Amino acid sequence: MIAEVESAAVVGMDCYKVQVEVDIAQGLPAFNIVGLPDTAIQESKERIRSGTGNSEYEFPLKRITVNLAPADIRKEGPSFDLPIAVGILIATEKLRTNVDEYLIIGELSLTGEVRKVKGVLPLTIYAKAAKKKGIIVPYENANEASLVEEIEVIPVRNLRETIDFLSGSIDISPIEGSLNQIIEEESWDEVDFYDVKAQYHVKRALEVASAGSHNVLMVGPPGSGKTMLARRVSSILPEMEMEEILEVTKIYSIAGMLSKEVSLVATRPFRSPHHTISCAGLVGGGQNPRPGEVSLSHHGILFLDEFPEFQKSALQVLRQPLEDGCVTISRALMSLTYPANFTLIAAMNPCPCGYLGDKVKECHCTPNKVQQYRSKISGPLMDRIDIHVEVPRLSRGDLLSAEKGESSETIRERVQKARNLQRRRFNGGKIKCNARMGPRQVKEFCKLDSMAYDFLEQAIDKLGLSARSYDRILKVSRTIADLRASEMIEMTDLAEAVQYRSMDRDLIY
Amino acid sequence: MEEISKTNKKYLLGVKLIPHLNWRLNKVLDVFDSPEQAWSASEGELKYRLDISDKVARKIVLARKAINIEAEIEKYQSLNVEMISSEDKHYPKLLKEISSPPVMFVRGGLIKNYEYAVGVVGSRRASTYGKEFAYELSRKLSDLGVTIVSGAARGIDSAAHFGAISGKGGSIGVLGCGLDVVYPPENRKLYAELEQKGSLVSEYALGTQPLSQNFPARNRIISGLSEGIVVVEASEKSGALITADFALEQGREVMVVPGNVRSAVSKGCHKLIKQGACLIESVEDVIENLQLDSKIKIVKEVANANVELELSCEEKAILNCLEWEPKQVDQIVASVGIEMSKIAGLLTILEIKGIIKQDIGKNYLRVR
Repeated sequence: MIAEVESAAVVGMDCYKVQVEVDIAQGLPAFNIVGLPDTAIQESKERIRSGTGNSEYEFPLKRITVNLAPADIRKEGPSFDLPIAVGILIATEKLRTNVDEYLIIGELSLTGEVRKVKGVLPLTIYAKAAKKKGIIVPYENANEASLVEEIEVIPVRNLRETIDFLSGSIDISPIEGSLNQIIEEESWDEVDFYDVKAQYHVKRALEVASAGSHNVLMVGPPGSGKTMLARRVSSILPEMEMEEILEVTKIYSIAGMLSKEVSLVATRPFRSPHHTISCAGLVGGGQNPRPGEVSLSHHGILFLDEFPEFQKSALQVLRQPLEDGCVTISRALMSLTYPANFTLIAAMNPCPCGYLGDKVKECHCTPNKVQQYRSKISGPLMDRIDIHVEVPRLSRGDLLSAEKGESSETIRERVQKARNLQRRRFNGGKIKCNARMGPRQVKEFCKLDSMAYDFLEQAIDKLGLSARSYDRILKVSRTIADLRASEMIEMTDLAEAVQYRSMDRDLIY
Repeated sequence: MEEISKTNKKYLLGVKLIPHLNWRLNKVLDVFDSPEQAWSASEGELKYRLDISDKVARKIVLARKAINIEAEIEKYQSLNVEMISSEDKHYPKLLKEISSPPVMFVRGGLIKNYEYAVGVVGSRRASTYGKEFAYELSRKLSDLGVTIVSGAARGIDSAAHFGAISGKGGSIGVLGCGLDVVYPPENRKLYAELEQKGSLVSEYALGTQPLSQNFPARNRIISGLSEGIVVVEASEKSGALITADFALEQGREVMVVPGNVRSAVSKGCHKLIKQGACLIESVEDVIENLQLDSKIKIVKEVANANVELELSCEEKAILNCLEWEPKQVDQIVASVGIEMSKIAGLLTILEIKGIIKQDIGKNYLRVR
């Protein structure tokens, strides 16, 4: 007999329907799965055989053929275990109901338990779009699935429960998610700018960066607090909007990084991968494509400590996401796009030994070495970083004498106001913040009066700034003016923006 | 003295390009009547006159065969490089007093007609204070018509050259490599400016790499070209101290700019002062020490007062807490009491006005 069960799979950020067809025919006992399955699916035979047996169903000693349609797309992962098992039970007439109202996903254990799988949130969204009545998901994934409204989310613990539910002998009430409550529970900041003493100019630079979503490069000796400061940036970014939360949660769901405890990403992600990370780890990819760190920090912060120590190729692949806000991974068989709209905060030492310009420890690097170290970051990449800020090491005395800082809450309010201004300016277009302005918008929105223009020319000339810093200064000064809630960019705004181009300056004669 | 003939110059270049003859060039010119004779000498003659082994003489002859003098001359001309020998009338007079190089390669004409020169030398890893002082001192001396000689290296040298170029005295850069080799590479712009507004000088043939052994020899030319030298910042092992030694040997005045007692880059300077070098605080000190005051009129600067007038009171408040000793921006904020968003802009404005300067690590110091 033949049975059909509907399931779905994720490719990139999108889902497609997978029709699981099970045919049981007379012949020598065999179990074949076709439809370009990967190893995990091939092995699902053993899980299904034991899982059904241990759930006290008889596993048919016949010729079983499973087809995963469409047959020309490579399928992967264990999430088809449950639909195949259900299909077999329908085909052997253990279950005599129609199951095409539901989308079924789940991995089986040898005991017949249903285990959690990746990508449940986008699959649930797909189920809703495909006008299904409900979706049957592993119990552990129920919370993330429940974020989608107007669809029945049926959490199941094991195979028997699934069959009983489908046959109507037990009733499992669909999980209703209360989004707002979850958000409340999940959004918290463990860090605050309140406990950062001194480093006034760095805090100010980070405030400007947050207000315009500018990328930042922090330069400072070891132990100056670069990581600590970067970690706190997410606490002053505007709160996430519903749309953003769902988008980020979807990515985390695909990456399999949600758990029963954390079913929603409601705070801006802060990712800090180690500098030995590979290209695929950073932008995503691999044999079974998976979102990389740039996508995991979507709508949040990607912090790259020891920036020049990253592999050259890894830094180069950052260019597309920094420019387009998404990353495209092309493989022989497919091409995927993951969103990657993040704020980059990079940190580096001023020189290879780390102590150039430090007051206490002497630096032993030759200018040549310093130059070499800095040139590891290519020009085009540097071009995408608007704000450079030097983070000096503070003496104990400075740290002890300084007062406590402003709280993140106060700073965030100012940031939010500046962001609102920007949103109104760009009028709901594709661009949402100053950092994303193209040359055309810079021309339109960063107008200077003649005095300010002269000042900028003078600054570039006298301070030995490179020509490429011109646009960056304009963008950043636009944000600084926004923080003052002023439509006009004034000389003081430009003057401050010039402060944030320290890597462009030739401090060595 | 009679100008040496074109043929002689041609063969002089030839001889200079043969390594084994080059480093005993003085002797070669001594024992042979003319460069031409040295060039065309037989193996036996070379061996006998120069007192060298068979092997070396053989090498010289082989090297000679490989050199096409006409092509070399064309190459030098196309690169705008002129050769002057100690018999030329343009050869700097001061240089003849020392164990001078018989042949020098030159780009830019200043070397032929400068009047007074002062060498300004110092550490390659100088502090902002040192570089600022070197720049200012050189600019002012240059404005008075004094040519500044230095080594076109990083740090103090570059600062001194840049300062001097902006005045009317110009600047001479003495290189430890061929004139076509830019070292350090970031000084390409400086090379171009020196060629235009001063001179680039080297005793090394084109293509010579900046080998470490070239630099001490280069230093003797820096002091040789000058009436005296000013050491701005030098650590205990700095090459600037070698220049100072040469200057003493050559009977030139050695002047020293003091630094912070604790600063490592001024240790060498302080040692020189202890040994009796003159301490320099201003241009006037240099002029006086070199007894140039009868020949050069010093115009006192009055710019300082003018600058003060244009400042707002916030700017003045910032200036009041700044000294030449670099101060961290946090300390400025703490002592001035204006919020960071304002101070950042003010610092840039003051820097553009040229009153303060930023140092690595977000430090600021007052330079006027």
